[in-house]
Amino acid sequence: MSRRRRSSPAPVPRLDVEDLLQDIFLRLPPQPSLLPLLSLVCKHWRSILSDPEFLSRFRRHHRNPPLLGFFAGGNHNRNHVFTPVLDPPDRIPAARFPLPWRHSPCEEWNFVDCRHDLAVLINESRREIVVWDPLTDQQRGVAFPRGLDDDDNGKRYRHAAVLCADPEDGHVHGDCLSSPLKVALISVGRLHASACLYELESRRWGDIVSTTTRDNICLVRPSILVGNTLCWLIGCVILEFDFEREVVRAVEAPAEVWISYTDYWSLQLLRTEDGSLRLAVLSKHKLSIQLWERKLSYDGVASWELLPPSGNTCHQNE
Amino acid sequence: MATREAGKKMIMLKSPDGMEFEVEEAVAMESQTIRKMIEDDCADTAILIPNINSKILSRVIEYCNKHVPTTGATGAAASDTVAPAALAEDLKIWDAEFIKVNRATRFDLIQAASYLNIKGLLDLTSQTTIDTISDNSLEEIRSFLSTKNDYLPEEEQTIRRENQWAFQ
Repeated sequence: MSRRRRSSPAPVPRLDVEDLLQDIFLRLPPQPSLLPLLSLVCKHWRSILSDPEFLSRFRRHHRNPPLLGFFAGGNHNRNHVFTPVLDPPDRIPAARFPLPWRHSPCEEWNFVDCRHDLAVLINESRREIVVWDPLTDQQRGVAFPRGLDDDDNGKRYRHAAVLCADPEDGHVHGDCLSSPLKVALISVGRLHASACLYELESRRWGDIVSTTTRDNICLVRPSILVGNTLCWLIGCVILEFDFEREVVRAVEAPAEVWISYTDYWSLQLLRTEDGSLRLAVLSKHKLSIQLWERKLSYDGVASWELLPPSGNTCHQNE
Repeated sequence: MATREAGKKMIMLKSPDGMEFEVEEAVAMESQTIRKMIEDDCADTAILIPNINSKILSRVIEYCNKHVPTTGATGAAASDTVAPAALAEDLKIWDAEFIKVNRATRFDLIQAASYLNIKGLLDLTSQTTIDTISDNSLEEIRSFLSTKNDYLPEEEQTIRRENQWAFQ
């Protein structure tokens, strides 16, 4: 309840709505076409809507940006191209995200991973990992660590993954290249695999750690992040790299799913919402998918458990 | 000055055009700015609310009165006795009526909500403006906000070319 009483009048300062525009614009829906469109209202609006500080607040306000699309390509990673998923006018054409190898078309590049709005490419010609932000077209190159594969001249399959600063530490994805990124590199040969972690902030590689593997490599799939561990499916073996402890180990798929190398595409790693690792196995003959879950006993011994069919949700990637 | 009325602590809010509003402290504390003043013991006498005239301040108080979590005779929160969904629906209808104001009043309310740090009111007033600028043409937006297009035609063309996909 309120009641009014009159007291001595005071001058009312002039209100300026312009100062509040930033707060209002924060609430704009995160449709990609809206900010460019509203930039055309007047120069002042454009100066606010393209201000990096505003854009950073905008990302923080929305947290879950819309999925613009994905990079898809052939087996050999040279044909990757951006595939938009939104409808016009938010449908951003592939030409807006030209891949970095356009500058060096003769070099051997591989598109290996995507996480937190960043893509990871490997330039085998220069022995370099390139972390690329498609939105800003900025990139950071990291040379392979010294000593990698010095003792093995056979064919190596290299893969990498990028890890952003922890969102729980207040990091908001969107300007990740300037945050304390980590890059994990694996190099897989006939009988053993190595892994190594690079910190962009200190510009240093950690120790190269290795493990033995089976001679069954034909392809390496993008990694899955489970807790502090990056998991790569390599043929029928899962290479697990704990990047906190910098320890690598090779885990074999359940003996029951040991399949021929021509069917490796029918395997897929998954992460459940509660952070468990699963292996999905597509059976062409039975037209069904088997789900295996990695279980840890109280004394740390890992095993696979075949799950009954269920509606649990899994994530293939970030 | 802070007084007591029917067992409820009252507080005086003063607008720069000389009006005073006696409101329950709980209602005034819907504003995080006023809450901080009270908690920091800066609110012994009437609180002067700069920049916000009496017409707008009375609307803000009306909003806070409606949105303050109420307590019944037993001390139980109103939401314990009324279904939360029904309460939320009632508030939504009330908000929709509340915000049916002219453009100038809406902007005054945005500014008041921002200064007084009343998140619900800022969300409501801003969102209404956002709905207007999201659903209208550039010309309509300019006319609604009394903003002038200060681009030269070639400057506008350059911006359109930079993000051609957004204008399809």
